[in-house]
Amino acid sequence: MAPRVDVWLGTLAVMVLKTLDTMGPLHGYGIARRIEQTSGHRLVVNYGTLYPGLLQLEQDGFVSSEWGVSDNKRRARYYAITRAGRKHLARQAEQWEQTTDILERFLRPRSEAQ
Amino acid sequence: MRIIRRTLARLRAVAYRRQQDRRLAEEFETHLAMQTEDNLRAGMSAEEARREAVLASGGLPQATDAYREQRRLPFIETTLADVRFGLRMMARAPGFSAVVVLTLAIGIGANTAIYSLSRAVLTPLAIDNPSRVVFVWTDNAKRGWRKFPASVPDFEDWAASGLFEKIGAFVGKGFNVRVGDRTDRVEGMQITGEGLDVFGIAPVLGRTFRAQDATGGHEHVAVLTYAVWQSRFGADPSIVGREIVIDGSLHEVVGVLPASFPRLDHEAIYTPLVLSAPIATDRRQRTVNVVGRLVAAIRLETAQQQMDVISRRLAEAFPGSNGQFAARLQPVEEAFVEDSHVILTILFGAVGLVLLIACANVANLLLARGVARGREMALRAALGASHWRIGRQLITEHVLLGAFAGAIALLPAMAVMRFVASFQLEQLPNANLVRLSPPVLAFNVALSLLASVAFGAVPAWQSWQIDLQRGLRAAIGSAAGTVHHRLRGAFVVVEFALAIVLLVGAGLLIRSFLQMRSSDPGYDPRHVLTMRVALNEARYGNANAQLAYYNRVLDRLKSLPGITGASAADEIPTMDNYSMAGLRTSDERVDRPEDRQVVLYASVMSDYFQVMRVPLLQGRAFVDDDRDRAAPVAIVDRSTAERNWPGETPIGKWLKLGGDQPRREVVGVAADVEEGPLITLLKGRVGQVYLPFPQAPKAAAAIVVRTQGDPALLASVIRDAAHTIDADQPLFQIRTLTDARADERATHRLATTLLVTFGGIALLMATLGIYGVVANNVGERTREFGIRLALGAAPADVLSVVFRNALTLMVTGTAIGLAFAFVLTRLVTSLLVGVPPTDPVTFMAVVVLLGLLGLIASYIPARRATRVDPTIALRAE
Repeated sequence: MAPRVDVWLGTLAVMVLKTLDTMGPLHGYGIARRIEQTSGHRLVVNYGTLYPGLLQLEQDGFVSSEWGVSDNKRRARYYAITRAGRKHLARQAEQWEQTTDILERFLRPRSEAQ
Repeated sequence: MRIIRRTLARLRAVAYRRQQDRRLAEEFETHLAMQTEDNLRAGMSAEEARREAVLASGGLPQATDAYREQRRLPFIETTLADVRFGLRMMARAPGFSAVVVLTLAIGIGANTAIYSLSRAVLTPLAIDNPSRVVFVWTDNAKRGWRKFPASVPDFEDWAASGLFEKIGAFVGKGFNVRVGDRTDRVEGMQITGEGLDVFGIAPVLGRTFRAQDATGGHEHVAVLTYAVWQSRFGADPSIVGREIVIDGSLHEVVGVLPASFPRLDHEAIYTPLVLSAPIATDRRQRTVNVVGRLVAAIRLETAQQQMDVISRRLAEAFPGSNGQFAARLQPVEEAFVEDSHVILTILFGAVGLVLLIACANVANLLLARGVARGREMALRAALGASHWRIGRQLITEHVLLGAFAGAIALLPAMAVMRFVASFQLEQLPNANLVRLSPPVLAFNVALSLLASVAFGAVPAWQSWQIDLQRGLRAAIGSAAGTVHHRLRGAFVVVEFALAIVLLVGAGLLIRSFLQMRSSDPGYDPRHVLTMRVALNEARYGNANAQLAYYNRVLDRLKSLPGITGASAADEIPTMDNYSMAGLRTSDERVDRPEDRQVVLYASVMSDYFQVMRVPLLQGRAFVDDDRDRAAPVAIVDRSTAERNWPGETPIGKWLKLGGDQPRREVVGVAADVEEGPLITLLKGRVGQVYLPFPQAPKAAAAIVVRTQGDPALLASVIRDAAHTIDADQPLFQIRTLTDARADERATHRLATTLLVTFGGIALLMATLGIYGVVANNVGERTREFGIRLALGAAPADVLSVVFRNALTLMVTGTAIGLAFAFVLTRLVTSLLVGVPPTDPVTFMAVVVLLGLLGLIASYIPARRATRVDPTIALRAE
């Protein structure tokens, strides 16, 4: 089993927004589980990072939250992505693609680049 | 955008802190529960499932911290925490806090009051386009006469010049006003038609005067000031149209002016000024003051140039009356401010010094306390608080102290404001507008903050110097060592220097005040009551009627028990309105008219010299035979006699008071009497000529009554006596001659009282300052003194060690203070009578007083040092 690493700062926001964009409204536990799943259990979401992160997203207006009831009839706070959040996600995704693209060129130089 | 939104959200979060904490706790709980359930499903035992869940969460406290970090605005929360902590610190040392806050409150309060006063005085004019409103004075540059009134023909020429949109002439005048069955003397003013419209302020009720009000037959109308409308007429909204009796005739009230209307003098009622002969045609009679509003198109300088042209033209056309005179325009705002400068400068100087001394004292107290808190600070630093963080907390504490002081300062501020306003000084017009307006409150807050910085800077800087190890090691204080002592010493030096300056100023004024009260005025002011009466000239139109009235009143008064003599004169030495004339004598040696000697003249009843106890040096007093149709006579004072007839007797010589006046034979020489401060200021010593009242009767006069006992007790008896003779001619300004002498020096008295109060506060603070420093030194050196005493030092040796330290500080401070005082006391020169601004007696007295108090303040703790029990002292640490 690959060593499990903590989510890097800065990337959590993108992951949370993407998760909410795909899955619809989720509570904090659900978001954490989903991110771990999606990463193939290579990432651990520390709750001490998740909730402050969610709060910041809410302060920025990218997510909204309200109390709801979970499948197990438990009172939980549900987070949903907002319109501003979708725009932000789109921008961030684009940037990430560019960044990874560039990094890839550096790390695996093709023959014609020589 | 994002920053703003986040900040707003955080601000909200600061407000809803508790609610947010609950939300996080609840979310966490849910999170744990869900994780536990999942773990259960994965086959763990209940206990294990919970444990794993908690482990995976990374711990609630850490998460809460991180959550809060994201949520809050650290700056505000830290500040709030500092404020809470600061309040706790204040509460923990209530005595210390109270002393600091009260000390500052006195300083800040005094400044707030004087600021409010200066605002009221310096920006009193709520007038439309104030820069265009000017007084028109008549100056005689050659003779150094400034701000003379104008003659009516000059005024009319100016009015016709087209330079003024509106222009008015006014004359101050007292009125006998009857409301109900009571007649009172009310200060008033007669003013021509447009005069009240010059300021561009509409009346609150009714109207101002119209041009036809000032024509004969229509002049029985009156306009009230807001203040008199409120106080005498109960703010009666239907006052317009009501009739009141002014000087015996019915006047219709036509209007009420707003409270913001600038007063030209102390007037409460206005009536129209009718310009009639003889003043209406005589250019030599300069009797009216002129105020005007320049036309919009013209600048002040241009207007002045055109006025100069008019003045030159008039000087050519009427060389006798206008030869050396020129009109000068002065913006009313400047005029209102001009007179106040000296007194405001002095007052601001005084309160500024008080605040500085207060700050020095508080800084000193804080430094002493800083030592006591040295361990706390060192501990904080050891636990990771940065210098910034500690400094910030201290600054917060200082600002808190300042804020409390600022709030409490409003009480002394209001007291000082009322006190100053109660003097009704002419130099401080509109002092009744002194109040806690928003700008004054803003000043108060700003000053509190400024003071916090001033007194807190050095203690905060000191805390920066904390040496961690030494701070922690030292069991009790003495963390900061010698630097600290030097600093505290420096503050005491500063306090002493400031106190010296303030006390010298106050001392000079006291000396001058005593001089004024005790020096021989040339008459005997004790047991004399003075009062004034101004006869209604409609009823007492001719000289005979006026004389008859005074004779009746004086006879009546003389018959009263307790009264040994009564007389009257149109001018007495304590009054500042004088009649003056150019003197011509039998042995005149005057070539040019401007060299002619100017003298004061007064009409006096026959017993005047006896009642006032002015010694007659030669000749005789006036007698009943010096009546209207008898040969004109006069009495001169000694200086006039010596100047005009040196080495010979003036008895039998003649003099004339003006070219058109009769020759008078000099029948007596009286001793010189003190003249009022205004005339002394303007002209120096001026000669005095007395005329027999029947030969120069006046409608208005002062009555002087010599009594056996306390003259003030007879006031109501005398008032009643006058009432039975004519109820419509009230006596006013009833006061003892001693008070009258003091009253005319009200400015001086106000400045003296305030400076003495502030000086006393400064003295107290400086004394406390030196006491604090010496006591502190002794406290810290208890052990050393104990050892010295144990090794055989005499108590006197210990005493001298302590004293030497205190003396060094006091001498340094005193020397610096004296140097400054020497320069700064020139500011009060104009208020000093008979005392030079560098009066050595005052300087010495202040030094001795402050030195003595300083020594006593050091002696108390120094004595404690000599009583140190070595065994206890050595055990102490």
